[in-house]
Amino acid sequence: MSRLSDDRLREIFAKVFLIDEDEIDDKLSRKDVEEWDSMGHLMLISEVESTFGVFISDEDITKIKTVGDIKKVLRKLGVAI
Amino acid sequence: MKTDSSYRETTSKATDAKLKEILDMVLKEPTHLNYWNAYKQIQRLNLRMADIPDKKRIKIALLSSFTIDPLSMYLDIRCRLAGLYPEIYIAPFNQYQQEILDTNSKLYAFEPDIIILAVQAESLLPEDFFSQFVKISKQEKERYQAEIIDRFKTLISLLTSGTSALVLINNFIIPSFTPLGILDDKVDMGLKSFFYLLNKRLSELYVEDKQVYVVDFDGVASKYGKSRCLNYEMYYRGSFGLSESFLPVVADEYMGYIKALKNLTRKCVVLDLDNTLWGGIIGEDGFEGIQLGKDPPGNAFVDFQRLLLSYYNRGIILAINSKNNYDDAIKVIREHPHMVLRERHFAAMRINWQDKVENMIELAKEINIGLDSMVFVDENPHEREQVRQALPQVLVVDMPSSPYLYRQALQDLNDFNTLVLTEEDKMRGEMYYVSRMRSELQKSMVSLEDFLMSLEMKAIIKQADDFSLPRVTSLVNKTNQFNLTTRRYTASEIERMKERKNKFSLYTLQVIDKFGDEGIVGVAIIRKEPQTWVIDSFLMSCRVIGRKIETAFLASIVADAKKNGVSTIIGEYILTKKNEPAKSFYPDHGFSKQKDFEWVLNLTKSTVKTPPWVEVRVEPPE
Repeated sequence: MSRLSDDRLREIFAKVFLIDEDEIDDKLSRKDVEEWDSMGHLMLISEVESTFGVFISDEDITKIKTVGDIKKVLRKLGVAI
Repeated sequence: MKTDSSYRETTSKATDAKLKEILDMVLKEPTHLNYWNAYKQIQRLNLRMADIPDKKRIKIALLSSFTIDPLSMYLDIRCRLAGLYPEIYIAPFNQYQQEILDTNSKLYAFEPDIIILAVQAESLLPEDFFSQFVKISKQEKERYQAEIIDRFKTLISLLTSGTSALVLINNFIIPSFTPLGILDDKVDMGLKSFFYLLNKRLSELYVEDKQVYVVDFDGVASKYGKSRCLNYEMYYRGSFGLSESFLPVVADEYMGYIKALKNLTRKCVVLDLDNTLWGGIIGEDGFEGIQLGKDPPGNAFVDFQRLLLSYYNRGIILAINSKNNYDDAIKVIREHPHMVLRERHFAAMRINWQDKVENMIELAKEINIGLDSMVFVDENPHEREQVRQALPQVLVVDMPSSPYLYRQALQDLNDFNTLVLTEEDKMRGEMYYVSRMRSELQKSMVSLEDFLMSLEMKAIIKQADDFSLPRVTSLVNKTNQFNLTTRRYTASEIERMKERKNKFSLYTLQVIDKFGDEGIVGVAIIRKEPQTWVIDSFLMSCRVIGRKIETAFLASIVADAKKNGVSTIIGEYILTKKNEPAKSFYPDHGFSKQKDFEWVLNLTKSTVKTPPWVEVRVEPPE
């Protein structure tokens, strides 16, 4: 289950920001990715929300800076990842 | 060593292949994420626009009161799937008014072909309008409506005078929530009536306009479901005015206009018979056994035929391509009491045991239209696949397996739209039937001349007027084969030429013969220079090709030139994929070659004679 969630998150990242899935690790952050602007960020959040069926608070949205951050928020919301 | 240009060619081929790969990915799995991804990938390809011909390019400007950026992804990809190369300009967030008012704005510098104005009512009304609505007096409501209409009028008149773009304005979504609840209709102008009346006034403003179209956005939203049009989270977080799932629906609506503007309109529906126009197989079930009538599923087939008849009445050509014994099938078409479509509704028929691909090619030839104007409707997936593979230009409809859903499948196509509907369009179906009769007469005549004489043709030549302008626009934009230069002009460009009488002459040609009135079938645009007339455009509908009527048309223009003291006429021929039939037009009429594609006639020495089988009448403009 956790493996599958990880793959799905990876796919979202790869497709939203046009990066190779291999380049994605927990440390990957907003400043490393050119396409990760405010529009891209909202797209990421919206895709994560609809894929995992969660609602991410605005406070968390502004705090998310890395792939690891998103996983933390998802775990907090009860997603096994 | 590669030369520069051959290197460019290989890279552009590689880019084309990559583009196709991206589009295939989206088509296979059309999710929002894939649209986003495909759009970004396409942006990165840095496609060279310089090599793309004008007719494939489209510049779209989006002006909006909300974040409309995601719509550009869908528009971009839909355009590319239709074979176009779009460029999209998005005005800065909620600055549509400044962009329109400032003549130096990026909007005007962009020179759009099409402008989409998507404005939410909230942005035009005071912040407390909804909360105070119940208390607002009727007079005040009317004042708000007048203000909105006036604002729109001003903005739109700036757009139409400052650009030659087609302007699309969304009407307002009539809210499904009202604070008055079930009493909304019991007060003198409830919230829904407020918007309903506003929409009505907006439409009325532009009924006659050739450049401005009001998009029934309320209708689009209703069809999709108003409760699903907005994703509230994205709306409040980033002012996104259209939910992810609504975006493709909106893009499709605009594509109807874009296809019409870029002449990607389909003109002809080619139909199978068994299990398409009626249920069952005539060869097996027999005349009494097929399903067509008042009982299900026969009633669905009757309704499907009624839809096709409504298309026929607005100028869509119908044809048949069916594997059947001719006698069995034609008996149903002629005699079945519940057939809605009869023989006279079909421009051409192929009912035989030949390959359907062959039949399609023959039908295109007989009707005289391109395969890229045809739609193929067949319930058999194998036949569809065969046609799709052999003739990719033909639009093959993915017919649902249930006949109850046929009607909806065809209604969902946005490929039949035209920007104008002329009287000729409404008569088209009949004309094809008459033309079939005419060619039967031709078969019985010995010589071509005898045949032409027997037609008793009259050519009526006139300067274009307000009445004929829509037809002129339609011919200028649709005619491919007998078209010397294939220059396309928008309705407003043509109107401007018509008004500059000392610079341009716009001639129309109407043809009447013993079978009936063909209406206006030819247009010539003359650019007048001192002593010289240049034939900028000369075109004729394929319906009248082969009757030498073009000679009569040209002769009349030449006579007019002489009357006006002109000494030279210059004609151009610009070769396209389709206008081979017009290739030798100028040399055939005594013009001599001046340079490549340019022909000249010296009026002091020669002239063009009207053929004896055409009686020409020159009528003054109204």
